[in-house]
Amino acid sequence: MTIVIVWLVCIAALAVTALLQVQSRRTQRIRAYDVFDLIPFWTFFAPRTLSSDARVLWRERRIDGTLSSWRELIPLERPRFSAVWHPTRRRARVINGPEVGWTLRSMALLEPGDNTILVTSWYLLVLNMVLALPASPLTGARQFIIVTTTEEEDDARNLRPGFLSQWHPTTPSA
Amino acid sequence: VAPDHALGVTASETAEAMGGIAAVALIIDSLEVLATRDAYNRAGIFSYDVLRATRRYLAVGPIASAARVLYRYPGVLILTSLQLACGVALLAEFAVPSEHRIALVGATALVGAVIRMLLRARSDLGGEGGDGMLLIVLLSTAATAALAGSGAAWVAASYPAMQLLLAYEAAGIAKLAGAEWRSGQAIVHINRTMLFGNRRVYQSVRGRPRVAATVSRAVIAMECGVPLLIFAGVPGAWAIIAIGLAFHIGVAFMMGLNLFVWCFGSAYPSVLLLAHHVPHLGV
Repeated sequence: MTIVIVWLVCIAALAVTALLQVQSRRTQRIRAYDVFDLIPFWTFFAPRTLSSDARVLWRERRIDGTLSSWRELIPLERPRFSAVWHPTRRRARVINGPEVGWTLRSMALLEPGDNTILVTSWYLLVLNMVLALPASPLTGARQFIIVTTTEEEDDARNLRPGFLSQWHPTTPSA
Repeated sequence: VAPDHALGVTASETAEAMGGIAAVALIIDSLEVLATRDAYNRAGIFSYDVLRATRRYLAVGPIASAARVLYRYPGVLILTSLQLACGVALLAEFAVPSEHRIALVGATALVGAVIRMLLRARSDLGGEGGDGMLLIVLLSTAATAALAGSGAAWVAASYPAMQLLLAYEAAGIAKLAGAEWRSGQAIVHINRTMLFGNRRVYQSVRGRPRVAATVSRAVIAMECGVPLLIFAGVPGAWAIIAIGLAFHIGVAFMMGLNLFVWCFGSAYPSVLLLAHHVPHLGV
């Protein structure tokens, strides 16, 4: 009897896993209930794959009106021995992952002045990081930009600017 | 051959082997999180203060306040340290006499699985396919320990193998459905990114559509074909393990996905056990 129950549980779990590999709104709604990630997603990098890196750059405006240069929020460079030790992998994935990454990329499609993005969690996630960076008393505000980069034929990195955030006032660090 | 005794290896021994390999994944993953702990504080990309707004049960309701203690910095690091302790314990348990080992391994694997589920309930940001396989292996190890000695133990111990074969097949079919993969463009596209790409591979496939298409179709053929080897019994299982390991090690070096080797590798003992039983299933 036990073996029948174990078989039934395994077959049911396999069937649900197989069915939920199909990407649709209905399967997304079902997956939303799987908070423990019990049903894995096996269609790695398919059917569509990444063709560019999404990157977040930030800069600041000082109280005298001058601007700093752009700096990268989460560098994507891989460590030399990333095949065995790659601690920055997960945070780099966030910016290019299915939730934050796609939302940030879709920001680039927003009309100028469209403020709906300001209330999304993913916008706040990036903004929280940018504003939490140490600030001097001369820092007045910060903004960030989403850019996409790819390596091109001439070994240069092709950069395409995307969504540019509003300026957000900063609080000087203690 | 008794149902729980294949190739001189029992379901319990299979589960212990899975637990031992999964332990390495748990240890590396925990140490990587601890090495990047700043990402989990209030100002980090995994800041709970922002992430809790993405899940209703974390923002409001009866478990929100308990979750706040568990998931905020440094609570999340305590959970991660416990996961690290589970990994170390799973390896240390190989020193325990074999007759008592499976119960300890099962209990430790269960604790490890619960910790991973709790961490996933906090947020799935930055997650990857290897996480899913690792959880399956830990749960299967715990279930096998609970069923040790019964005829059902080998089914529980074989479950990671069933998911592994499904994983390869699903990945192959999904690639076959993508025009980018069929043409080979996907190989070019991935390798021109910094996150998952490899400059040498990119330089060898750019402007060479036939080479890119050959590589891409070889990956599709491998992923679609490898699961069928299970029907060749134990020799087929060894072929699956050899091809799978070569693939995952290659992916680790080219794409920097270091945990995949250990997460998927932890399911390989299960493949051997399943392969032995396939001829007896009438398939």
